[in-house]
Amino acid sequence: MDPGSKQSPEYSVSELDRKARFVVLFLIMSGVFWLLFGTLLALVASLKMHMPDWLAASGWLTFGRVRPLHLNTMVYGWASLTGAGVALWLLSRLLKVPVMLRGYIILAGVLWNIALVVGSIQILAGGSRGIEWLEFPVSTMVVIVLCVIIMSASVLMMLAMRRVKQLYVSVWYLIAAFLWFPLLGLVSSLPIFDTPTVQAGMNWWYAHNALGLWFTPIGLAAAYYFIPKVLGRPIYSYGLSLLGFWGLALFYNWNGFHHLIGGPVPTWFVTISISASVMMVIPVVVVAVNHHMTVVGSFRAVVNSPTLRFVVFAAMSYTFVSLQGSMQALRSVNEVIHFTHFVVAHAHIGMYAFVTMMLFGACYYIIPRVTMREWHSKSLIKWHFWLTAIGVIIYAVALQGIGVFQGFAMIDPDVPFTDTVTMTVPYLVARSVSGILMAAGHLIFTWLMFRMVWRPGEQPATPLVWNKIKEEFAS
Amino acid sequence: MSTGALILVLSSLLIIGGGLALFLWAFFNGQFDQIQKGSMLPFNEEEPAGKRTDQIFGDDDTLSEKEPYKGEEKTCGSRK
Repeated sequence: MDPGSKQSPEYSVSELDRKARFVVLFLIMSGVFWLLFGTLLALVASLKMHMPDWLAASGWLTFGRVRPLHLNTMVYGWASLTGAGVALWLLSRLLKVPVMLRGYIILAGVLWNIALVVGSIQILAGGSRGIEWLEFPVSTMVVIVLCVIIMSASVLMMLAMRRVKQLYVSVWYLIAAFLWFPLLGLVSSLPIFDTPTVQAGMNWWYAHNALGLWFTPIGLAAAYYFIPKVLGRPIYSYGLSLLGFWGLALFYNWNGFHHLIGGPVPTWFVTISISASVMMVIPVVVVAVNHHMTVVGSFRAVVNSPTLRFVVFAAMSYTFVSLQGSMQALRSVNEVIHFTHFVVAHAHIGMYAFVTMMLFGACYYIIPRVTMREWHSKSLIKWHFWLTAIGVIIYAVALQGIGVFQGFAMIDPDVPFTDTVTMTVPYLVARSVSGILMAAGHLIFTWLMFRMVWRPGEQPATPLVWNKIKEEFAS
Repeated sequence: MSTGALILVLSSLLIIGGGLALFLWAFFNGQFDQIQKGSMLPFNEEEPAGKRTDQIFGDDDTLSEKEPYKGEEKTCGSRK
């Protein structure tokens, strides 16, 4: 007997979507607000990199405050809130039960947003913790973690009440994410990391794992759902997909210490981390082969789908950034690229080209199904894709290109340090240009979402298959 | 080793241990008994395999001419 079959009635996917509607929309729209705010901060911070005197008279707009706030609003505002919305929708679909504790999740979402506002004010006022990825005050982080715990309780209830026996690989990723992130958040908030060395260890244990054990599982869960779903074709090898998940679960969480190569930490800490980073090649290649073999031969279907354009771009970026990360963990590579713009670009390939593009793709699939409405403009969706895709490619090429030269210059004792800074300026301008492109894409996405949620649109009876919708519009 | 470093090591071991415990639960719960069937879980009667969705930019909703999906026998690693 299927678990939960005695307790819960059987729901159609449209019923599940309808029940998830408010929770999912609330979380995703909250995320979109923080995406816009974080984008504005990103532009200010990027322009300041090559125009350091701009807005320099205002203390709260200095680089040291704007840049950390950009990072924190994107991570805990946009990506976490939207990712949670996407995750809950996926779990409802795959476990065939409605999202549980919906009222509590809304309350948690409200508190989460309030905590983000308070934390943002504190960073702008100069109250940053000074720990990368953890600049928000501890109080803000504790509230966010408690909100995620409420969602984790919902996830575990859905798991207990599920109407399927076998768990799809996306469910494995999502359950793990909702268990891992509270642990990461609570440990990082403990008042025990009081010496600089231990604090640095906690910093990169947390930051790397937040990406790998919170955002990556959500992103891969989405890829494993949307690629087969849109193509109408099962994943190439289900066995490989499970191998990829268990590989992530076993190898990832030691990766972060490779950020401390050359630092005053025990060598074995770093060596284990380098080994674990290289071992990540296994699950990454497994995921890449699986996605590639599922999509191969269906290029037209990818191009024709707004969801798959973003999702496939994101999946390719995941492969690229992960293999690059394994390579960067090697001591010989790290001694060149450490403290350069190469690493900044690497982080953006992970959080933007992979995570953010995946979330965009997920939104293009989910929102019509929970709102029962059609997107306002096909051409705007294309503009959104090309602006963001080209933007992040320019960003990555410019900063990683100059990052290598900057690295070699920094370890050359004959090169004055100021030269290692001024040589990057043209590429920092390119970074701002790419930021403007991405910002334009975000404005388009926000407009499309706004139209979808607040403006009355066409409401077809069956929103589940795009072509049916199109036929109804045409008739 | 300081308390902070010890907590980091223990937390890392907890994540790995939790993963192993989850794996054992999955194994003894029969999650790997019919592993190939797992690939069909995203599909259902309302949204079956073999039907593309989300093809908003094109009129073609048929499967790929190169590699048509013809049923469960071609789902897992056996596709040419």
